[in-house]
Amino acid sequence: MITLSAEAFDPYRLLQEFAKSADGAGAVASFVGLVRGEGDAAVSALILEHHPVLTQQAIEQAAQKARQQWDLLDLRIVHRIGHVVVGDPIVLVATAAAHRRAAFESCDMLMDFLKTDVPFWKKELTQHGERWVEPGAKDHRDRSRWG
Amino acid sequence: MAEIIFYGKFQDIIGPSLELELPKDVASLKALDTYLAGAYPGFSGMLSNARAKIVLNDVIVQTDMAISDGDRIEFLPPFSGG
Repeated sequence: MITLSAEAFDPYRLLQEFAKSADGAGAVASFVGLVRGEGDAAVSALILEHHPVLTQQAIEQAAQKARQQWDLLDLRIVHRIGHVVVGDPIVLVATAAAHRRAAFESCDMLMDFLKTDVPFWKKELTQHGERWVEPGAKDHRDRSRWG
Repeated sequence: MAEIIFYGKFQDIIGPSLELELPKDVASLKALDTYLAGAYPGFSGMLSNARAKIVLNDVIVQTDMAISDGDRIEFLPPFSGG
């Protein structure tokens, strides 16, 4: 299931529900991304913009690619949109499979795609003003591992 | 009249959208890109940035294409999720 959420969400409760409902799973892998407040510019919050149609479509395409590449029993993606404060979850990716490798790798791939291939735009609100953030060379190298 | 929509950092430069009567010499995405870059300092090189995307009438386009009044064109800066 894929959800774009304009409200704060509890990834740990969702993960528990996901693991319980993943019949036959021998492995559940998950990633939770949080708004990081440390650093030289003291970020207080992020604004996450999205596209009204293409964002959901792009996540669905990434999920389809993961399902084609690995034998997954289920997957769950929740991504925040709107105003997200420091410490709050931005993203949950969870994957369930019979064995750990499929769960780990598909979770890793989905996160790399969410970073660079899905129409989100991230603006940091800091003590010194606002700034748009773009993925770095490392994000693109990570993404390129998956073809 | 063409409808042009901007996302992310492009909104800060141009605004969320424009209704634009396309000048006669603006008949392609490349020409529109050049036209906007001339009108809005800070907006440039969309077509030369492989990580930015242009959407023409709800379809992401990879190459320059003809445009005309009635088209809906969206300019998407490089994506940054997660």
